[in-house]
Amino acid sequence: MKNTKMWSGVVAAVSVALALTLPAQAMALSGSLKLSGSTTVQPIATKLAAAFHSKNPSVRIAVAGGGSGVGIKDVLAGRVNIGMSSRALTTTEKSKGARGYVVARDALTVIVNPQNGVKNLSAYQVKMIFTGRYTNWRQVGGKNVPIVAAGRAAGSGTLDYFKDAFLSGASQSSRVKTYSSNGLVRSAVANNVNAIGYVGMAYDNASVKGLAIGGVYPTVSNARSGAYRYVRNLYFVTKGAPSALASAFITYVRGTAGQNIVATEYLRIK
Amino acid sequence: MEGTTGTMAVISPEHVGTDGLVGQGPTRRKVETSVAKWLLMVAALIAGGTIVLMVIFVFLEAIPLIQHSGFSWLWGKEWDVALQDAYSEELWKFGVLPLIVGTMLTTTGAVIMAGVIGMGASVFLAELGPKKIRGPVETMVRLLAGVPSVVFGLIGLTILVPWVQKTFVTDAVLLRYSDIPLDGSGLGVAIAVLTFMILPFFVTVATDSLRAVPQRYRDGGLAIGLSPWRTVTRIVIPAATPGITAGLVLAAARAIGEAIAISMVGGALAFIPRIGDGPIALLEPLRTMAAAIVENGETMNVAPIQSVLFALAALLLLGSLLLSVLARIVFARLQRRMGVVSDREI
Repeated sequence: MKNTKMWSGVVAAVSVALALTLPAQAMALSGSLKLSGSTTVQPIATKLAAAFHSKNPSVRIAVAGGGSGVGIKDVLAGRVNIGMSSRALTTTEKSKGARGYVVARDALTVIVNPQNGVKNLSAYQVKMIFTGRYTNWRQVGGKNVPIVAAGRAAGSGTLDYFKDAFLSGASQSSRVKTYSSNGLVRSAVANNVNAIGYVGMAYDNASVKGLAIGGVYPTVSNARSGAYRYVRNLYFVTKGAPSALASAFITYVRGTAGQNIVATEYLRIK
Repeated sequence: MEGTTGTMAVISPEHVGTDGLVGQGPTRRKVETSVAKWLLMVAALIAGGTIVLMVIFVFLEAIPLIQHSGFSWLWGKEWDVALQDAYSEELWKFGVLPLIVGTMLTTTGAVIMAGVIGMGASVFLAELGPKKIRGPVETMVRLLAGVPSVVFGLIGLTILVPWVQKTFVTDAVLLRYSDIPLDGSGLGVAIAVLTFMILPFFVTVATDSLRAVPQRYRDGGLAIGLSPWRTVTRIVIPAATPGITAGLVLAAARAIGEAIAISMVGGALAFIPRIGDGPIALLEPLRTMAAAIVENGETMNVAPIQSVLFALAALLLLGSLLLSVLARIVFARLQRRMGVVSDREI
């Protein structure tokens, strides 16, 4: 396993090296790649695909969402070349041939409406809210209005991580609204003064407000230093060894140029 | 073809080739006819057989659920959490009652609303509207039928939901009903969106039914001194009742399966709106069966979820089959009871 992985890396590295030395036309990569899966990974995958395409004009890369579950299922079924996942692979998935490549890291961000006065919650308070024990903002230092919790539906890697990191593995309460993408959670929070949700850090923009957890804000520097604890890996997933083109793309994404793009939305890989 | 239809009425069909022309060699005619018959049968089998295969497939896929949990899923009340547990632990403990109730509430509400608005529109189009504007209005109604449901959902989500939230979801309401996450999306907006989606289907059928009422009925009414309005309400509408009722049932069949738009404005929670809350129930979230299928299609790789989604599909199929059978029965019954007033069949 490890050997083939290393070899594919070597092959890709060699091909990149060749591409640099030989005339571009002779060695230019061509063909098409399809990606699907995690809506957390989607924003950077789209940017990376565009950058890779401008370097290799005859390579077409299509990026679709669907959620981590879809991405892994699709890549194992051969429907896409690369699946995107915001959670680690399970043993079952690995036994079916799935291989994960860390392409970025994300600080999972708990968001509220910008008009909400609350700036900080403890991890315990987040847990109480999403398991349905706390139902009023007054209970966590806010106004006397009910809390509307917005979460992700089953199949979301973000949900899996959130359950592990904040809920000690428990399920979200039956009063948590469930949406099928990061974008829908963000718009639910942006449109409701009383809402709270959780998204990948790339989705934390001016329409919502990222909360500090236990006094630590989910900033890039806090996440990199480890002060902000809720950081997870984001993956590209292939079935078995990636094709030459997929391998070239993954190598590019994990290289300096790719990581510079990753850093516009997420954290670089270590 | 048009030129030959007159001929066809006089000459028996065996003398006419499949191209509608008369007087070609007998062998060629026979071959053509049998080939055509054969091809037509294949076409008919494809069209008719599809529904049989679909029903079989959908029911087969739902069987694992019944093997694991009998029929308890039909009246269980927990959907969202059950789905999470099914995904992470392969549990088979589903409750689809909220989805069934959600489907029935939205469908019933939309059929009532579309019935009221649609009757007004149909009477205007078929009977009382100024002739000059009937045409354009009818065209617009028919265009409405072609609008993709996601567009209805989008408008509902960006215009109706924020408006409802601002107007009706006050802090007082929020505190009084603090156990339910209210944000403007929910039963009311779902019914509104669905109403406009099924309205053109109902208006088209109802307008045709009104037009099919023979002119002598209207003449009779006017002759005994009834006003045009009374002629319509006392004579024409009752005479068209079979078609109008069938139109309502068809509209219901359309509403029961709507997924995308309802998923967008339903409130993202499988909650059973509490009718006891009065008008507030219109603000309460819900999920329909069709919406649940479209929202969770991505987790189909998990066996319990796949089976329960097919079970929902089976319920939807049953529902819409029942509705279309009902439409036929109602149409036939009412027509018989009231005497045949129309040559039209549904």
